[in-house]
Amino acid sequence: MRVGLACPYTWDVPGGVQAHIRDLAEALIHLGHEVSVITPADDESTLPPYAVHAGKALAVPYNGSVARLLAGPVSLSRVRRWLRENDFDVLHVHEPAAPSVSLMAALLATQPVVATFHTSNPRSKILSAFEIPMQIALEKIQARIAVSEAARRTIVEHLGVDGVLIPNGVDVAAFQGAAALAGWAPTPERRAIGFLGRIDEPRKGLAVLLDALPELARRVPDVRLLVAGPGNVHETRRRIPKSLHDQVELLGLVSEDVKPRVFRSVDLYCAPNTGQESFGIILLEAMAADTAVVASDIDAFRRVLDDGRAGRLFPVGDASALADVLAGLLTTPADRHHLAERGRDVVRAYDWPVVAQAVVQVYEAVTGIATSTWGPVGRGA
Amino acid sequence: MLLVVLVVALVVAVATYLTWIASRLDRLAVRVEGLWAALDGQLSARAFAAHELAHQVDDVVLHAAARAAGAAEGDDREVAENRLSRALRAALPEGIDETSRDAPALSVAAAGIPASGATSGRTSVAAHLPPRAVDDPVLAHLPECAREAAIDLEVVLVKVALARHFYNDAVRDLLTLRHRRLPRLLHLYGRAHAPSYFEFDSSVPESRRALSGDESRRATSTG
Repeated sequence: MRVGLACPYTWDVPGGVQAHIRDLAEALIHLGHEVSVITPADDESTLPPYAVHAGKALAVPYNGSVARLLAGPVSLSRVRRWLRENDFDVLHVHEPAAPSVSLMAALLATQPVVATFHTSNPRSKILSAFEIPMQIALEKIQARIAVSEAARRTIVEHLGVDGVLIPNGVDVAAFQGAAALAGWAPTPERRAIGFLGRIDEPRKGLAVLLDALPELARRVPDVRLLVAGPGNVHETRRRIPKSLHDQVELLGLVSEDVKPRVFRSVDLYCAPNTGQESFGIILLEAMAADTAVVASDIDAFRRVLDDGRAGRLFPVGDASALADVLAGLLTTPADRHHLAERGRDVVRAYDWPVVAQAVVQVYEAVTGIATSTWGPVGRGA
Repeated sequence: MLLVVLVVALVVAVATYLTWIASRLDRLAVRVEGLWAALDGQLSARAFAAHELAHQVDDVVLHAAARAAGAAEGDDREVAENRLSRALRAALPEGIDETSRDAPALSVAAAGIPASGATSGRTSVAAHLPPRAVDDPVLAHLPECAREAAIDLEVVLVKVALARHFYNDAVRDLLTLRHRRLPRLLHLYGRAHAPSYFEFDSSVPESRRALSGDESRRATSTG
């Protein structure tokens, strides 16, 4: 199938939507589809071969922060040319409620339009100025995909229509193959717990884990904690009792390719978040790395962890309950392995090839093209 | 003079508004039409796949229903498709059931997870196309030769469910606008026929109800 993907945000600025589009594009290409992405970018040379430059985006306040998405008349003509030259079977726009390349593409499209909604709050002040083009675009969209239950609720509430839930994917293979960091090799003696996320953002809950540490160290004396994420390292270190300093390693910000290695360096991954998350992608990544998960009992985590069967849940913010759960799992490898095994089953549904295939089914449902049954990209391809 | 200006302004405003509504009606009608074509295509694919399965399991009822659905047109279409649905429910093993997959919030889990443990690499298309492996226990009751057909059929059922959901969605949008007072009074939609929802008889036979999926599936199957 010939698929056109429209990305609203600047490609070379890191972000979840951009990463999603990149992974989806690559998974679709791998499935044998022809894919072209149109996106704004600051530096055209950073674009992958399947992407087309739509010009530079302008900064506009969107969704509570400043996003760079609005693009000018140059972009409009580039989008038009991109659509004309490619003759896509389906156009897949991301975040079309934002004034951007996605909105332009949806307005100009003559083929079926699929839209993916990422954010859980698509309304902002700037949008009122674009009400008419937005209404037109939304009326043209034939299928809506939401990447999380929260995003789906948002489109039901704001747009009055339902969407199909297809979650973000995880590159399972990248996480499974990673090697542990130096000094953290998996040995029968290792008792290591991992944390990933901003260390001074209260909602990420590192404080809860640090509060649990003294009790945990009393029950499991050789426990070690590996913390990766941006934030004030000195400030955080001060909150750890002196006697435990040697047992906590604060890595600071790590790059995307070190992330899998962090998961592989620990026996348990802990997500002590105290605020609502829209989706627990980080848990899936831990599960993809075969690491057992302990997470606070919030909706998104409960959903991803299959009601606690694929990872242990503890009451939000309860440090002593957390210490209890962690100590229990660190001292019973069999339970840990059992959780990791269940996690592996769960994460299979989120592997990019599977997620991309689900997206293709949506494409087929709006185009009537049935490639997976007897089409050109069918069996044996 | 002021009166003239006011009248002209009013006329322009009304004309603009009516043009806007008419263009919306037109746009929604185009969407409904496109999605009907897509649903039609997926229903044909279903009839074809059902035909294959009927052939493999030697099921005359299913065979006849598939043929009828493939040939039906116009008003007979919905009746014929529903007959095929019932025949499929009788023929397919428990656990493969279009109603269990006929959900607006169709999650990726319901859309099919490869049952074999192919997690380590991105293998060929065929490796994760079929939602189930041939040795999936759900398929155990089927003769071996029919399992491939059942797997194909299940893939098509997911797409039929999606296509029907998107189509009905578009029909609802269009009907909502058509039923507004002004478009109705002024016949802004011209002679275009009112589209109708494509309803599936999704009643599950008593004997199967207990087996058709878990809580989450039931909770979402409200299409």
